[in-house]
Amino acid sequence: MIVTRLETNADTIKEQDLVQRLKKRQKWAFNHLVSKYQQRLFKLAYGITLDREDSLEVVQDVFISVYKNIQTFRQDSSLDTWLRKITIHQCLNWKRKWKRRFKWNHKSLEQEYDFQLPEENTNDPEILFWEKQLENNLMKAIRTLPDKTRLVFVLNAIEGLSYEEIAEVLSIKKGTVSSRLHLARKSLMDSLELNEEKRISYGKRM
Amino acid sequence: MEKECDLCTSEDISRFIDGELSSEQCRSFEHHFSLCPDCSHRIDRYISLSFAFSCHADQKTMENHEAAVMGHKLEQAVLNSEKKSAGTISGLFGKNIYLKLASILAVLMIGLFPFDEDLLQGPSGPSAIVNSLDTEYASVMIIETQIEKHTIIWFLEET
Repeated sequence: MIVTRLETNADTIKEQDLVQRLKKRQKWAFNHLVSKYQQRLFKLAYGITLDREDSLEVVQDVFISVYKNIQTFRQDSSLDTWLRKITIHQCLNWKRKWKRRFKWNHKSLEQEYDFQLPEENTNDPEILFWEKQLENNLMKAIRTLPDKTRLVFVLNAIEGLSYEEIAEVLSIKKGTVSSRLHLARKSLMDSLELNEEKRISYGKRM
Repeated sequence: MEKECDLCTSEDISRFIDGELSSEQCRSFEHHFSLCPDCSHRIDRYISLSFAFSCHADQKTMENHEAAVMGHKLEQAVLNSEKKSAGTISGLFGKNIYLKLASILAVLMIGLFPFDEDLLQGPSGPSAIVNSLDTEYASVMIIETQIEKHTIIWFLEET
């Protein structure tokens, strides 16, 4: 317990030090920030945009925004929380921008064929095929969720945030987090089970 | 689509798997879940949804070459941002201050001390700056007098 607390303090000091160096415009501090957070922010951005290229652009914009606005960061919250907020904000703005150009409805080749199967999977081609189908169906179902609902699901599933943390990041009530998360899970489950029923009835006809 | 259990709503299940119920509620639901196959199935499905989505996102990591390209773009963006701030009044004399001072001095010198004795006969100061270009390492300025044009080039030597 004491060790954990000491480690947490050490992390805070490191973070404070990093922020101070960023405010002084030290180049290595900025490089350190990028290498430390780029994968995590990319994953979060991907969860929201569901597009690889868009996520790359979003993460890049996040770091540029941090570089420009670091002087305004008063450290009321942790650097993690601040970066997460900027990423969410950039993603939603990005999506709004592209929605006007009908980009969101565009189906990229990557979404259809780029699924990497986990190594521990069986080699049975039929099982592999259905697992792939399941993943495809899940991603399709996630795309149909309303923005606000999906955002809560992403923060819970990818970032592992508690209801309280999600409520703080999105400036909503804890009860709203609970109902949106439940709605997301229920919609996804219903959608997947509907697909499963279709698959079974299709199999019976064959 | 599955029917809801009478004793436990699907929102309760959602909160249960996220550890957002009180310990008392948790204990009573745990007992119920061990006896109710519908709720037990729903718990499994809810957990697997988050897990499958997280796994899918895990596969979407940034490749090394993508990270390198992004690093390069960020460097350019930072440089551009610095250049822009140098263009403001506060940053006007921040960078390339020697080049800027040399330009002003050169214009004054051409105006006050003509190159040729013949030019002493008439007005010789520059009447217009035809063109000028300011880069990080060099500046070029073309000045037009009443008689001819002068091209002035300054180089910034690396220290």
